[in-house]
Amino acid sequence: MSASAGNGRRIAGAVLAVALCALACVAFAGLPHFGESRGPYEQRRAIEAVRARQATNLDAFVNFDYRGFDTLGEEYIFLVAIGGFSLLLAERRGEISDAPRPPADGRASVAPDPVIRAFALAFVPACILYGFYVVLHGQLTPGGGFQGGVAIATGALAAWLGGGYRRFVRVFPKTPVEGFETLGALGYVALGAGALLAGGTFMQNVLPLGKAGALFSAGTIDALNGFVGMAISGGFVVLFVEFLKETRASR
Amino acid sequence: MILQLLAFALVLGGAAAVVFTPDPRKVAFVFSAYGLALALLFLVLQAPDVALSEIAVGSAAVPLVVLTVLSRMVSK
Repeated sequence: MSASAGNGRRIAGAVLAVALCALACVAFAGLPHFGESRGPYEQRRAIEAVRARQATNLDAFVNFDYRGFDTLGEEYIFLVAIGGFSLLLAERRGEISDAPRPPADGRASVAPDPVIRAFALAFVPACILYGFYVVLHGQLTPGGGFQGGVAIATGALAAWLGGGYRRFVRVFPKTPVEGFETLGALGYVALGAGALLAGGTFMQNVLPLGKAGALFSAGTIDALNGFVGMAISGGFVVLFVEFLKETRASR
Repeated sequence: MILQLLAFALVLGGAAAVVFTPDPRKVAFVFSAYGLALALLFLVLQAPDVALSEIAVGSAAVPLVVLTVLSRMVSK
């Protein structure tokens, strides 16, 4: 590339950046003031969530009831992405079996420090328990299937930190983890389709709503949170295992 | 209001730290701390749902993926 072409690009880039800046300023000027967003829409949704669905977490109401179909799509985008790169990595490694392999050439096998082991021993169950708590209380308090699911998977990952790769895959074997993930994915669709059998529309909230504030309330919002929690926690553990396999010998 | 300003300042400082850390291995950890600052900001701005997501993804998933990729690049 000649010097003049490089300069031309730089000038074009600068002009575009200034134009983008100006447009952004105009757009920001049209927004409500910082911290003020009391639109009629969110007021209505907030009332609807508690009165019509017995859910005290507005986000859960919007994600799993009002636009539950969108969340189904989001869950499957995540699962398809996990499945896709798992396949690609396994293919590239020429993987035949799931048996644990020694570390890759040039990588030392370091025994975890006793302090880290002790930390992991306490952290793994506590984090997994907290994750289940967040999933189960999805319709009541902030968080839900996604946040709790990632917390569960993070707790599982701490088993690798404290116990090493072999222990990690022994405590969280592939088949049950993938089964958990699959059950979560299927459960979501099954519950949505179940509403059709009950005479409603797809993803309609047909389960008993219970009372706002109870552990089991808000009908399908609670159940869908559980299924998403299963799918996300299983999916993230699969993601972690697949990435950690990359640090092991390939055959 | 003071809490909001403090959280914004932390996020700004954290973002600068991520950009100006030269060693990619260290960036993985600085990024994780930056995620916590970001979560604090979301919490102060009354978005606890988003804060939880940020902690969950930013503190474990992203650093692990970055570190694994770096370990492959070093071994080659």
